[in-house]
Amino acid sequence: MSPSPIGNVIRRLRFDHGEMTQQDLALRCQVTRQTIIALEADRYSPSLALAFRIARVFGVGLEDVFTWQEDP
Amino acid sequence: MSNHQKTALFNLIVGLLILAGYLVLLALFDAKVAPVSFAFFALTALTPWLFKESVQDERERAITRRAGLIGGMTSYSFVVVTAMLIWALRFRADPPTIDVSVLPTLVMGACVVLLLTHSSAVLWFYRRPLDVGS
Repeated sequence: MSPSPIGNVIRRLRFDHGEMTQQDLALRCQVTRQTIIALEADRYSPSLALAFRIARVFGVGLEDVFTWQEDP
Repeated sequence: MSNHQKTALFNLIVGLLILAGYLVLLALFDAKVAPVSFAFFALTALTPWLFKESVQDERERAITRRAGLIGGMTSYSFVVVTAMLIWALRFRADPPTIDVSVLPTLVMGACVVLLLTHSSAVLWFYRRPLDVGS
């Protein structure tokens, strides 16, 4: 399976928001901590609903969290 | 490790225990005694008590769905191939009959295959990139 073309800056946003823990973010997004770990490691591309929930937690737009990595 | 992974690991161990028990009983006794090892299946009923199952999130649901598909396909293939193999082997026998214990063993064997492949697939998918849209 090829790596996901969807990248994210969740880790940086967590630290920019008072060093929010993965568990805190998971609770606020109604997912497990394992899912946040997988997202940060680019091992999981979320649904649109989860992507919006994450962006809302950080108070930013969707494209401030997720980026589309075009093929070279 | 999440409860979902712990449950899959527990089920994998139970599946291997059943398989090992079957082979040991087959070696020590015979094919009529070996199915006793299927009693270990009862251990899988403990998983909700051992690992308090919480509501799955979207990634866990996607993993469960895909692992279920792999488990179902493998176990179905096992039943079809084994049943046809038994039929082919007994077709020319005289009399062309099969032992009464074959059918329940085949059914329980399919359940063991399902348990092993489903739990292995769950653990495997946790380590793989996953895209809910794909």
